[in-house]
Amino acid sequence: MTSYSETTTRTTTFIRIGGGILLGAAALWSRPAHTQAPVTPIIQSVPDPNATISSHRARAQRLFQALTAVRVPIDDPRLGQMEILLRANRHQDAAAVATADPLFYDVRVRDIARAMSTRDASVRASLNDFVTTFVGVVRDSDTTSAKELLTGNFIYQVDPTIASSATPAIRNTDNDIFTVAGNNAAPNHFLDLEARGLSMHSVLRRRSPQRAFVNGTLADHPDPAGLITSTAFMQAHAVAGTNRRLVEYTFKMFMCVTMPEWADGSAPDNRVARDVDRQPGGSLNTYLTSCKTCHAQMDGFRGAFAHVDFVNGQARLTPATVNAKMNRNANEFPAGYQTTNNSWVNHAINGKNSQLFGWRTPLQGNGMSEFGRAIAESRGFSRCMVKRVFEGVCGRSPMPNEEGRILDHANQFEVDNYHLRRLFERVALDNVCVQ
Amino acid sequence: MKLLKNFRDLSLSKRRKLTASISLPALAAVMIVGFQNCSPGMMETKGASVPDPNANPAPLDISQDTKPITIVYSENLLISMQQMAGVTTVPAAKITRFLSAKTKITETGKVDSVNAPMMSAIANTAADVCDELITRERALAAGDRRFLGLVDFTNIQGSAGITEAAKDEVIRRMARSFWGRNESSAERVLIKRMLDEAMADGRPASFTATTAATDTANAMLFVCTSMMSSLDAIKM
Repeated sequence: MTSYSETTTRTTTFIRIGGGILLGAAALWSRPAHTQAPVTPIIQSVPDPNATISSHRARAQRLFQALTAVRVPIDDPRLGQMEILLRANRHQDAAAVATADPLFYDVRVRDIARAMSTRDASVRASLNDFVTTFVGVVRDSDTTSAKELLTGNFIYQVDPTIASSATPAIRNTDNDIFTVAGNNAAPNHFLDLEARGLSMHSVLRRRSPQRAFVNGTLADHPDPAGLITSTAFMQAHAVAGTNRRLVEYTFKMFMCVTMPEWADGSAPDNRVARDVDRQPGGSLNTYLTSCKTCHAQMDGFRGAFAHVDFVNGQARLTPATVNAKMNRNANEFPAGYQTTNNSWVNHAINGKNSQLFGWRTPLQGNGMSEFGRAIAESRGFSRCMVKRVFEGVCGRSPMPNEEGRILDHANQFEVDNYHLRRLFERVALDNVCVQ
Repeated sequence: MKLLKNFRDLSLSKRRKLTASISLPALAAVMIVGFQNCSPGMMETKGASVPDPNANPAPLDISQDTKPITIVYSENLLISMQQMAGVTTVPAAKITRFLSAKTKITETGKVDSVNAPMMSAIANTAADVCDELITRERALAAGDRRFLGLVDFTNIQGSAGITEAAKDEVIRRMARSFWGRNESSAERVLIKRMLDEAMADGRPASFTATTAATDTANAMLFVCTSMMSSLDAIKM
C-alpha cells in the first residue's frame, strides 16, 4: 500500500539526489556527432506563475500529451485554446487542436507506424515509405479512408520542391525512393528526411502510382496493396524465406492477431505446400494438431504473394512467373500444394475465426490487391486500428472488460468512413483513456 | 561535496570518483526506495474527482484512486524536454550525445522498464537541455525570461546572491512547466535546501565577475536538472 506521505518521500528523495545525478551527468559526457533540426516550433511566452490551474486546463494538458506523445508546459497557449473549448463542452474540437499540431504527426502517429513497419516492432525503426504513408493518410483523413492503407496505389514522399531546396538536398530520384542501398535501413530519400528533421506534417506529398521492379525494371506497380506493397513492408517480410511472413505480419499488424491466436485445426489443408512435412518426427498427429493449425490458413493466403520477392534492396515482381521460393523443398511432401499462380483462398473462417475477423468479401481472390482489400473490409481491421490507436494514445492495451468499448469505437470508425484522425480524437476523449 | 564547486572544471578522474561515490549509491537508493513496490507498473492517484493541480494530493486509496501511467520513451524524451524548457534548438554535439544515450532509454515507456542507467541517461539529457535554457535566458532581458526573470547573473556573490524570491519563482516556474502543477511547500523547501547546501560547499571567499556568473548559472543548472529529470517530469 502506498500512502501519499510515502509517495512524497519518494518524490523528495528523488529530487534530493538530483545533485548527485548532476555530478554523474557531468562525468558521463561522450563526444559523438550528427545534426538534427527541431521537430516543431516551441511556444515562447512568459506566463503568469501564479495563475490558477483549472481542472479543464489540467485535462487539456493530459489530452494534448496523450495525442501528441510530447509533454508541454501547463501554460502552453495551445492548452489555453483547448481549455476554452473544454469549458464550452466542445470536447471533439479541443482534441482537434492537438491533432492539428505537427507534434501529433511527427511523434505520436510516426511512432505507431514505425512499430508496425518492421519485424521487431520497434519505435526506433528508421523512417521509411510505410511510416510516411501512414502519417500521410492520417493527415489527409478528410479525403482518405484508412482502408486505403491496404488498398491504395500510392505512397507519401517529401514534396520534390521541398526536397530539392533542403540543405543539403533530400535525395529524390526513383532509385532513392524505391531502392535500399547496401546495408541501409531504408531508401536514401527517407533516411535524408529523418536526418533533416523536417516536419512530416508539412512536407509530405502523395505520390501515385506505387512503383516496384517489374521483371528487373522500375515500373508502375501491377498489384498494389497500400502498405503491404510498400518497400519497407517488403524489405521486412519478403526477403528470403517462403513469403509466409508476409501473411503472418499482415495479420499481426492489421488484424492485431498473432499466429497462435488464429490457429485452427479444423481448416482444410488443401493449400498446405510441399515443404511442410506431414509426419514431423514420424508423427502424423503432430502435423494435424500443430503444423496444420497454422499452415492450413497461412498457406491458403500465401498465394497472393506468388510473384513477389525482395532482393538486393528492391521489391521485385515477376508477374508471369511464380517465385521459386514458393515451391522450395518440394520433396518434403510431393503430394502437397504447388503454387502455380497468385490465387489465394481464405480458410480462416471456421469457429472463433469467423467472429474474430468478420470477413465481408469473397473468400478467395487473386494477388495482393484483392488480399489487401479482404483485410481492409473486414471487421477485424477496424477493431485492430482502434486497438492500435488505443495502445498508442492511452499507453496500455485495452483490458478484457473494455472489449465492448473497442467494438463501439470500431463501429463509429466505420460509420465515419474510416476517418483515422477522428478515431484518435475519440479514443483520447474516452474516459478510460485520458481522464 | 567540496568538489561540487566548479564541477565542470574538475578533471575527468575526479568527476568519475564523484560519480562512483555519490550518484551510484544515490540511484540505488532511489531504485530501492522508489520502485520496490511498484511492479509491473507505477500507479498514480486519480481520486474520486478531477484532481486540483493547485493543491497537495489527498492520501491514496490504492484500490480506488489509482490508474496506470507510462513515462517518456527514447523517441519523445528530447522533444518533450525541449518543449518543457522552451528550447527551440539543441546544438549538434548535444544531439549526438543524446543519440548515444538513447540506447539506454526505454522504447516502450512502460514503468517496469525503468532502471538506473536509464535514469542516468535522462538526467544527462536534462542537464544538456537545461544548459541550453540557461544560456538562452542569460542573453535575454530579465523581463523576457520565462524562468530566470529574478535571477541576477551579475551579482558578484554568485549563487549566494540569489534571493529567496528568485529561488521561489524559479522553482514555481519550473514546476509548472516541467511537472504541470505548482510545487508543494515541502518540495520548495527541500529544493532550496539542497541547492544551498550544494552551492555552499567549497564556495570561494570571493568571485570575479565571470566566476560569479558561472556559479549562479551552475546553481540554476542544479535546480533545472533535478526538476526536469524527476518522475513528475517524465510521466505521460
